[in-house]
Amino acid sequence: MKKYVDYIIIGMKEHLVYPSAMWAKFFSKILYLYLQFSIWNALFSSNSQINPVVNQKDTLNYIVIATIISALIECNTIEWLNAQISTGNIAMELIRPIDFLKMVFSRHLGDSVIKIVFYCIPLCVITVMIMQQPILCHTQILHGVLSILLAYCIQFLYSLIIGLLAFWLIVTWPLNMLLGAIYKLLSGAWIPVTMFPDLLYKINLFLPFRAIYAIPVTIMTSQMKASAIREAIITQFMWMILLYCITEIVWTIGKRKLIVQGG
Amino acid sequence: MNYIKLYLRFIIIYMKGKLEYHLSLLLELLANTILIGVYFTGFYVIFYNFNTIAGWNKYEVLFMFTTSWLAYSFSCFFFWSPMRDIGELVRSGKFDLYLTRPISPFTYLVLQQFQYTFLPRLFFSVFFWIYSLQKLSIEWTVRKISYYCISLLSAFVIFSAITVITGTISFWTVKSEEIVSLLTDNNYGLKNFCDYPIQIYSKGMQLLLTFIIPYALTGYYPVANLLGKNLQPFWLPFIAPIVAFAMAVIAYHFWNIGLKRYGSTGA
Repeated sequence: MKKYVDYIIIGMKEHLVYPSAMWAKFFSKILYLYLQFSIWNALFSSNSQINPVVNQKDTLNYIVIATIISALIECNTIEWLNAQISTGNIAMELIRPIDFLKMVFSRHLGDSVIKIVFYCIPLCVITVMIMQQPILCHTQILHGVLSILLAYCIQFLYSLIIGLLAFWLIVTWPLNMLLGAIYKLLSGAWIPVTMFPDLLYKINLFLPFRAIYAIPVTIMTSQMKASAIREAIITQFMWMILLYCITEIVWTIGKRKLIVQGG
Repeated sequence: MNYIKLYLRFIIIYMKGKLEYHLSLLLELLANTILIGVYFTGFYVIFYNFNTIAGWNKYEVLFMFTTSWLAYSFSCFFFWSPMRDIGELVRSGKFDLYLTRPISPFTYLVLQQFQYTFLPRLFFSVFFWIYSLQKLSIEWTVRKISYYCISLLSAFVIFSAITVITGTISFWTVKSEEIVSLLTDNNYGLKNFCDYPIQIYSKGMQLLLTFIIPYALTGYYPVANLLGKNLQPFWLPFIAPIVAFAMAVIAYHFWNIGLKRYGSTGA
């Protein structure tokens, strides 16, 4: 256990190494929050709305919460794993008497602690000062937190699977870019999924992306029936288990495929 | 004339090199196609739910940002990749190579490559540009066409100048990538602010986008003027060429200052 705690600390330290990068990241988060807020605010206030399903207050809350939790949920495991595998550094990690995947998770955990302290909390403070109205749905906060934790795990497992694909691929950035784009749209981090046209909405029901943003953010911000909440959380659970199984399979097969030149 | 000949030679060699790995070339193009395709899908979803934004309908917004994207794609063909790589070249000392060539390092950096990954963006932009033009009823007169052409050219210069300036910063700091991504990142970048009419932002933001990092001059002002939107003050849509010229001069001098400062890290 001690070993993994050390890795958590390493993850924290790694994030703190470049203060200028942290400032840039924080600044870009604020810019993005402002961009999203302005666009959706303008969309609602300037026109007749076609889709009556969503209202202004809910949508703005949704957008704000989605942007804030994106600071926590985002995961750089894909790039890190790609680099480890393609440079062959992974061989060194495999020699150590620890479980590689648990080690990766520990680092990510450390990284996230820093993200909560330096991005999420300041962003929350700024939002509360500017919005001056209740954003969260108080009765559902506990469910919301549970849902965010599940989303966090789903995001991590998803990143792990994509990152491990580097065992088979030589160039990884096009795949990351492609999946990143699809992810951005379908997860609901950019546009609330309730606004999707029917077909897109139905396709999305069969994909894990909406379990990462759409489900937790909706639970956090809008009033839902108890049965609907239960259903949403069960969906997340199923995705988590499924992705966990896929991770194990990919890892077992990929490890065998690993060839480190000159290692 | 010589430069065009040289450029053609370079491109042939460059593309030959890239085509060696045709699978990865295809993947890169595919990834960019999906990236841009998803952006337009998102745009479609937004306007599936809403009619207008700040008094602009979807064809007007589409026309606005495709105008800007056209100039951006062309600018990126030439300047994006050299300015992205310059940080790494300076860090590793490989920039020395460029100093020993018989043409200026800047010309060499730009001419030796062609950033084909922006082709999907260009194709999508052209497609939706034509589509939006068909839906809009702008009466094209000679005056308007020449105004639009000058605006496009200014937009090209503005985008290029910003790219060069951000790239030149790497002569001073070790990591200029963050500044670059703060401006042009596909998710958070400041450039994304100009995909929508800028009157939806606060006054300060509008000033920033008009005078300091003049992305708004590349799409919003010229198109607003063509569509007959009410702009205050009236001269704003006409400053793009002047600003573009000023930016080009700044970029040119800034690059030269940066170049003088370069001290090799290598042997």
